[in-house]
Amino acid sequence: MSEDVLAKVYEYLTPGLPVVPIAQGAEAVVFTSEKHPYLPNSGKFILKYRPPKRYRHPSIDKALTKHRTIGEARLLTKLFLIEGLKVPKLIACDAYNGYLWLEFLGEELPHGKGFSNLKNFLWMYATDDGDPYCSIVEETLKKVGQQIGLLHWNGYCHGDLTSSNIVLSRSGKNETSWQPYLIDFGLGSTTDSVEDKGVDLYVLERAIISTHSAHAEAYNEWLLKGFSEIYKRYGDAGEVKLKEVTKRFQEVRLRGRKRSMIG
Amino acid sequence: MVNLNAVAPGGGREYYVALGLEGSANKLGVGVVKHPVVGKHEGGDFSYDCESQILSNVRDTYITPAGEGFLPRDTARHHKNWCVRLIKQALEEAGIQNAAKDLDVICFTKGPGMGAPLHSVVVAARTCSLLWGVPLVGVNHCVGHIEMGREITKAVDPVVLYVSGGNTQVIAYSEKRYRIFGETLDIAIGNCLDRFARTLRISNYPSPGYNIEQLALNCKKKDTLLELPYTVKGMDLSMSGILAYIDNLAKDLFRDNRKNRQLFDRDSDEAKISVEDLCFALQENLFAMLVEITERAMAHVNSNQVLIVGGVGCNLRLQEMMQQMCQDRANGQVHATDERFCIDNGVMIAHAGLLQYRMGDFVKDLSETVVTQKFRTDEVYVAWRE
Amino acid sequence: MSVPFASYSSPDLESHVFRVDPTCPRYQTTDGSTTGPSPHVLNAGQIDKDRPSEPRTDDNGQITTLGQLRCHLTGLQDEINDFLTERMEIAKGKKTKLEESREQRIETEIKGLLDGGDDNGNDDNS
Repeated sequence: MSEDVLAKVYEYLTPGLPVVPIAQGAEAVVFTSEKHPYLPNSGKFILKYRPPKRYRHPSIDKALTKHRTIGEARLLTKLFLIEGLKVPKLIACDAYNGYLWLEFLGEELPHGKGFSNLKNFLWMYATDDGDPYCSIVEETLKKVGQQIGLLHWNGYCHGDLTSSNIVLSRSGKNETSWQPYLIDFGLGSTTDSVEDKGVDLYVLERAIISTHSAHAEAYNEWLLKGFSEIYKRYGDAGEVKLKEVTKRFQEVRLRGRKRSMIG
Repeated sequence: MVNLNAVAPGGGREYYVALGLEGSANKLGVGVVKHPVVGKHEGGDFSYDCESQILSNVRDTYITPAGEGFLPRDTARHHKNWCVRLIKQALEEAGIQNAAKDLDVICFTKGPGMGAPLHSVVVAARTCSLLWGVPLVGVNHCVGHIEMGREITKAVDPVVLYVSGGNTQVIAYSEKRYRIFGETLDIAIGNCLDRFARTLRISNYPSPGYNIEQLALNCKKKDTLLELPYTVKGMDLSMSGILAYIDNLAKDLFRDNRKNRQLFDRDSDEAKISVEDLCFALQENLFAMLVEITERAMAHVNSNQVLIVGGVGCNLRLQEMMQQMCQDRANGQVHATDERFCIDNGVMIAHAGLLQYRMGDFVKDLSETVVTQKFRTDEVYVAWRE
Repeated sequence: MSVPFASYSSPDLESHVFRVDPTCPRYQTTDGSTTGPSPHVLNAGQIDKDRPSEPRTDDNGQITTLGQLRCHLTGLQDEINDFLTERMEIAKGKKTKLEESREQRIETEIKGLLDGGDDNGNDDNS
């Protein structure tokens, strides 16, 4: 992580607030803190900072940072209220400076397999001694599908679904059961457009194919199964909408394949 | 384990020589490449370091008048009429006197690209192959760009941004294939720039993209950027909406439509936005999107290297932006090449084809030489990498 | 020297063979009537620098073997283009019927192929 970015963060924060940098995503730098930004109680928190991007024109940069930070905060607030949908709890937001405080989720996977996002989890089970087709993987992916189903059914899109943007948290003390949380709503939107939802599913399918190539077929099938389950809960109306979304999803996919690639 | 020396070079030579023919779009390129036999290639993935020597690299571009695109039929005709001359020139420059003896393989672009131009070039490749008794290798155009970029820059395992007239993809290698992590959901970046250039009758010489780049440099109002749609979708992006928006402005500007108050001042009737301003805004917006999806892919696959390939890749503003992005990432590195290798050329086809040939993959029957307009990057089995 | 030929087949047409007729002017030039630049780009001010060169001649003024081959191929290409254009127009419904003589010629040729069987059209002549 570049020193400039870190310096900027320390300058912004209350002096002495302990933050530890943990990851640099594409858009944001992520820190953890043992201290709540303004309450005296402790726990573990996430500080997500969108630094200015020098490569883009200042006016594009300002607009995007503000739009995405505020958008993510708004979405998280709304999504948090939806029953069954799992997203991190929003604690604080400073849209103009690009800061979000969130509840901390996830843990370190055993045997140094990294942080418990879906990507590392799937890789862990796809290594020599793991079974990528075991029931834990299947269950987890179906649950992920359900989360996306809930999101879409309620009129929202994520905009950047990849296996990195899904965090797994152990449900209770049960060692083998994982609860997926959707994170990173910077490109998310409130939308009832079938096109947006179709693209959302297509982006995820492609991310799975490119990142988890060997087992992608089964993974995508389980994801879609979980997704459909949510829609099917709503009877005929659900079936009709499910058909619309899956049909558009297939169209978007076909568009990708059919596009001629000249030059 | 990869062994690049499995197939011995012909005639007891200590090196391989390949002829490459490229004509998938409006550039006809012929190149000759030499790979010395190097011991380390027997036991490891050194496909980015073949110690390639470029013996010749000649090109001729079919250029249309300003405002016109290149049609398949005319482009094919151009290739047909220049192909023999260019092959002769390339062989001569490379010092190849007896092609039948001195060449190991003839490589041609199998796709993707425009059907008619691809056809006219493959006919030449087949003819040469039969004439000299030299085997053929069909090469994926995108893989040609990637391998040439790796060889020139020595980037071992980069995230590749492939940007050209017909393609916009973010690619990374994994498990024997170049996987597409992100791409355009509609039109390609080069296509978007070309169509915009046509509306404003910007010259096609040497290329519309180059002229847009020069115009953008002359933008006088770089602080006040015209706002355009910004349409990144995860690691994918969409550009047709942006084109439609800016194309309408461009049309009104070109026709001097004073009714458009976004362009012309209400009181003085003077133009508020110039052609240069439009070029600048379009580049800033599109390139910011490209850099962003590249950075997303880098974060996703934990990579810190970027390689930019394809015709749009020689745009210096794009390279500069990518450089700035990488400077803010730990150990970030950008690799790019100049117009000799960025723009479609025969050398890249020769180089990638030779890698394929050295792994024992060449045409056994002429029926395998059918060219194809659609040929996805991830369809190629990359035998020469670990 | 063997002379090139081309054959075309489609579901509604068993086979159509194009053969070189050395006496016909279209087989004596490298500048085909259907292989020129699009009028569209010429109108836009294109200077045609892609015109094919004349067939080469030897010291006795005879066209070289390769030059002759180029002429033959140019003629065949024209023949094929005319043929396919006509079929396209028929498909579009612009022309309702093939010219009588042409239809007959095609028929005899098909019959000749079917009955004669001197070559079975399997050769790759693309």
